[in-house]
Amino acid sequence: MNSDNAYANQVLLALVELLDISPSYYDKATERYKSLGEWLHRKESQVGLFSPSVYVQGSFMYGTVIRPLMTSEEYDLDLVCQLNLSKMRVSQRDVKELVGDEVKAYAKAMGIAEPAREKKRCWRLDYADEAKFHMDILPAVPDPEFQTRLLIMEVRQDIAAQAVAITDREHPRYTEVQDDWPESNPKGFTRWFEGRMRPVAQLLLESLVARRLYASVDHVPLYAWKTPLQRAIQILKRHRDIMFKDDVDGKPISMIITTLAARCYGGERELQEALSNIIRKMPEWVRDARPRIANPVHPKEDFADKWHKHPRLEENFWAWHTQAQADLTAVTRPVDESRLRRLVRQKFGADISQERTRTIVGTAVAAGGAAGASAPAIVTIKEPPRPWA
Amino acid sequence: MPEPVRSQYEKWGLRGLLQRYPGLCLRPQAHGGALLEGDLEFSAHYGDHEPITDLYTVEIRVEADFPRSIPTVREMGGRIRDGFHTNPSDGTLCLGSRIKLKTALDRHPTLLGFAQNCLVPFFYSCSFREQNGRLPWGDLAHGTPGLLDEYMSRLSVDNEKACLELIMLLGIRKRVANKRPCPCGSGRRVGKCHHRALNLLRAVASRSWFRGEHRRLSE
Repeated sequence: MNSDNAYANQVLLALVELLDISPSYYDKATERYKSLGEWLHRKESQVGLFSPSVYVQGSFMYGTVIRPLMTSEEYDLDLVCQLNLSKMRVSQRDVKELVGDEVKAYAKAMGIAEPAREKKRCWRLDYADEAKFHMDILPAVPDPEFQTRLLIMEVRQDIAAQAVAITDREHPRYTEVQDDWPESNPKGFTRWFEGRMRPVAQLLLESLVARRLYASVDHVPLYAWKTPLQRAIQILKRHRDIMFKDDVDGKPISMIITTLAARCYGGERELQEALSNIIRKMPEWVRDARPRIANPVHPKEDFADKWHKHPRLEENFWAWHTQAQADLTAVTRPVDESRLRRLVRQKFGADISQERTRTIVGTAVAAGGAAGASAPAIVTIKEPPRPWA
Repeated sequence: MPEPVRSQYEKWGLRGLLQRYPGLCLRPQAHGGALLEGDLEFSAHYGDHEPITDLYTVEIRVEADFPRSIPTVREMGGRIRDGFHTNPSDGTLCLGSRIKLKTALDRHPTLLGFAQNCLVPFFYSCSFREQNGRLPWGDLAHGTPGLLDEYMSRLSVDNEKACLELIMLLGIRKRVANKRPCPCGSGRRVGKCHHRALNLLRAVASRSWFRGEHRRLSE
């Protein structure tokens, strides 16, 4: 690794430390989903018969959560509540309401002031204690028929086996008992995502076990892996948040960033290399025809399904991609301390401490790198236009 | 969509611009245009003068048909206070004559080219003026006379009437124009006289563009 790469990695690591949330948030999230699971299994539970299982999906699962831009913002904890019911015997509404009744009772028992709110596909619970979370609980049932279709589409067997049917309040046959349900595969996605970084994580995991932090490699939760892929996603998400802070509804969604990044990740061990390869290869995974950005564990699902109706969203995606690629180049190119701090603040809304900046810039110079540029490269003006009005 | 933004951004060399001027931020606009806003920090060097490093807060508006159309630029940081070469109607900066900017874009048809050849020189001359109380390479007179002045030097003619007639010739086919008597009064036909200077300009813009230019300058 040359000294410029060492500099780049140090900058990116300092940045990601500022974006990362404290492990206590992950503990809190685990505590919350386990508590809901226990509730569903209590003696009086209406769903106890259907062997309910509650599991995490989304960024809390993948270990890609970042601090919200505003301290007042909440963290989204996405949960799936799976009941062992056949979609041939109950309607979507039955499942939604079964879960809903339990969630409402849970909210009451836990003394949560805000009642559970029904959303299109899930139930939302707002915790209002010290850790600001809201939990989105997605009711689901296993879907063997969909699993078979996924196998035919050559989705890996262990991934297909996780596929579920979910409910949608706006589905035309929401209240009927019939087999046409919306489909999803959150657990399958987690497996796929994990698989993308498994090779590079192995050593990392073994060292955690060797340090007696975990009993075995299988006990290390995904969020503790902290692979270059996870860190790259955190950086890209924050860059997006800053770029679209005044247009929150227009920003590229996390699922698109996460999927494309995981697709493009080639097992790089260094963050800088991972990030620059990811951003460079991203366009290869955006198709011209639909699905524009396919869900890797559900090839017919399009994460960019809204682009067709709202072309602005696609423009925003490419604008973000262009800007992110340029900004990452700019931020990893050696500059002096004040410029480095200004760039990181401007592009990522994060303040690297003066001390840390000094160390980063100092080490680069000590390692034989050029002193960080203290001014932009000089333009030689030739045949300038004369100002005119 | 007329052209996918993705390939448009590549054609514009947008990434090159953003890498070079990381203070700028891209905002997609309706109809395939783009807005670039933020800080333009540059170091520039001209002739024997010491290099100048300075920063201006700008808003650059690029239309979908760039580089055919010239981006418009506003200074947003209040550095240019006395209306120095600013269009009073919309606050855009008068970076230079249209033909000069067209020529620069023809040579470097990217946004980085536009920044280096049109924008940085303009701000350099603002900073130079702040420091030295004069302009490094002068400016053009207001309105039509300034524009004609630029053409007269490009076409090497010394009177406005001949200059306007030559611009008119740029609006018609080369073969037809070359058979006409040259407006400079040499007595030769254009093909044997001013054709070289005209051809250099023809390469920069279309006949219809020059017809528009002739109309605007004749008003």
